Amino acid sequence: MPPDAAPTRRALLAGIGAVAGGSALYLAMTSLGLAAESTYAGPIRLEGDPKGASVLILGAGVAGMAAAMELRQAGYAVTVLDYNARPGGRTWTIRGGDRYEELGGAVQDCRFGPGLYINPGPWRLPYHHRGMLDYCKRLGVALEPFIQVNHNAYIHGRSAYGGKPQRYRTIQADFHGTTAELLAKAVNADTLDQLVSKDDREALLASLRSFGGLDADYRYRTGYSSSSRRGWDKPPGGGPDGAPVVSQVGASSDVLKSGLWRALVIAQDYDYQTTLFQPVGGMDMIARGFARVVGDLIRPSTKVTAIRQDDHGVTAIWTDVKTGAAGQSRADWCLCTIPLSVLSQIEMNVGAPMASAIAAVPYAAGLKIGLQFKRRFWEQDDGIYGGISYTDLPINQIGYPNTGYFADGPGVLLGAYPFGPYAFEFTALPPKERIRKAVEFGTQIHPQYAAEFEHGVAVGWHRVPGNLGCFGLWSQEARRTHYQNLCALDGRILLAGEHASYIPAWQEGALLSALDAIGRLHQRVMQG
Amino acid sequence: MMFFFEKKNQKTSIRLAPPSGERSAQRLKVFCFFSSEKKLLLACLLFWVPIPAQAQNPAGLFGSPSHYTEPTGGAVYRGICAGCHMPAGQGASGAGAYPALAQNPRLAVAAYPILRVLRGKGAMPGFAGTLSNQQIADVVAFIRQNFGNADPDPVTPDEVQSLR
Repeated sequence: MPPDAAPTRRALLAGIGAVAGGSALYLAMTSLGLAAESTYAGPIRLEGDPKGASVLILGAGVAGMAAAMELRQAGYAVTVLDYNARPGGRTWTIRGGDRYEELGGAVQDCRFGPGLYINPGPWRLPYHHRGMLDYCKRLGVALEPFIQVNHNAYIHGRSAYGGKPQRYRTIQADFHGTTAELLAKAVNADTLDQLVSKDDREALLASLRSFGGLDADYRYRTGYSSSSRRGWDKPPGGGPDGAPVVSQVGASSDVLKSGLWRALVIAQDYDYQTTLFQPVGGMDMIARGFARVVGDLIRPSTKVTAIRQDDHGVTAIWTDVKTGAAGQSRADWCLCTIPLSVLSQIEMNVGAPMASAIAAVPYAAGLKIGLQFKRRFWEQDDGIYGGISYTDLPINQIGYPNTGYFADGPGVLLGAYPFGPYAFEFTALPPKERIRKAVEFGTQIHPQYAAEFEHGVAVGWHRVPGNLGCFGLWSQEARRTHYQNLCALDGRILLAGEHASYIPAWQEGALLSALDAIGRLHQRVMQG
Repeated sequence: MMFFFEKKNQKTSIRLAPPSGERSAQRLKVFCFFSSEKKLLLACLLFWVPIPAQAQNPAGLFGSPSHYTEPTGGAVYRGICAGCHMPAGQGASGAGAYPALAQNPRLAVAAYPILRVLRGKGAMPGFAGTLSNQQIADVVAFIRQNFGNADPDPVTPDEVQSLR
């Protein structure tokens, strides 16, 4: 293999993961040093007396509020300015009674029933995001499981299996069985002799039979072994007619050609490996938890228009977006967590390296649509309790509520969650049209949509007034050129947020960047 | 399977500008770009599908998860640009602003909007990998001939290509 054809590490991992399953992927990842745990090492210690030093924090999302909490605790005088009327930034939940006006003026009044909600931003916390989990514990935010993998949810492709949604379980069993059978054939045909020693051959065959659900002849065939994984035509029951009826395994090429196996790879990614959590009641429980501690420091509805530093401090010039009043806030230091999509438009006297870095990061499109239905038909009719169905339709996925199971009355599911071009295209539609299209597409997976749909809420992140985009989309080249400059202290100004982390789009990235920034800031203050 | 895709992917990744007809190459290139940086995006980009017949979808909306299939300048504008610059090109203002394209003297020289669409600016992403030369020429001509702008000179795909 010529050097330029060598698979990248990521492609190699994807190949290992797709063929050999998550445990093999994890072993490969740890051997390559990728799956190390979070760098979070417990509550930050800012030791020493800052002697009344003050910090102006811009932005009251996870980064800004965590920094405010820790800096006040360490003895700093802290002020926080935020554009929104509510704390939390992208850590946000929409419930019945909430009104959301997006850029361009479209207003949505959410009519979700009591206890129902949609998280337009982050909606899950992987077990290894130790910082977020620890803050949830410290802030008294109750967590419950987020179901990432549901074997009874669907994988759907418009041109796969006649457009009929397949159960995740069936695609996984057929994909594992088919690839295991092919590999066993290669072993038995002695074509892998250069790769597998005679000693390892029997062990490999035994593992393939076990992994793939193969029969005694290493074939993935219709039978008990395959049906116990992919599902039965008639499941086992009781009494005289209790015997199960096996399901029919198709041609071995079916699952490979279908492309549906691609959806299996997602849960093998480190970010999506179980266990994942969600706050009970909505992601903004985290924002509320922080606000209980630092809410008194936050000046809401405050639009920063300029940030000016001199030898002695930093001044933010602002406008109150409700009253139109102009004002200024000043402190010795400034921790700015404003998204780069906004910050790149704010006058600020920092050096060229930081200014260039701020302007170097485009913002990704992302969109979520919450749909309320008269009843939880996905549970009642389809037996789907939480988790995610995947599709190649523009809605990309359907997320089922991971809470409130078996409830009577209406339920809300995540009816669309695309990135990339589909997200841009959804965002360019008026909210009502976005919802109408999401219902139209989703009906191809759940025909019940047609009779059960009530109303919805659609959030395209490029239309969110405080954000102007979903998250910072770093290219590797931009990281090489600008990332260190973005993170470095410039005079009296430091930046933090998911954009100043290697965990883009995740709250953990925002949190770790903020903790790192205030650690460095404190060190600088202690130096005098 | 993944190795196969990756090999194709690497071939295309060294090509600066795939010919506009090579849809599959463009899609795979985008896949590589996103997956190398943000795993979250894998979910939507792992699927790619044939482009539906334009007759069923005259606006060309939702034709592909990795590139745009809007067939005219107006369709590109309404399908993509209007998300930020708004349906009448009026822009919008929140914590930051989207510049108005309406009555915008910066559009007088076509190279300026062409470069913005290709490479983006600040928070605006570039669309070099997701729009063809023809689509970019068409949408630039569209905004220069609408929204109170009067810059009727045609814009050609060759001009776009020369600025890639």
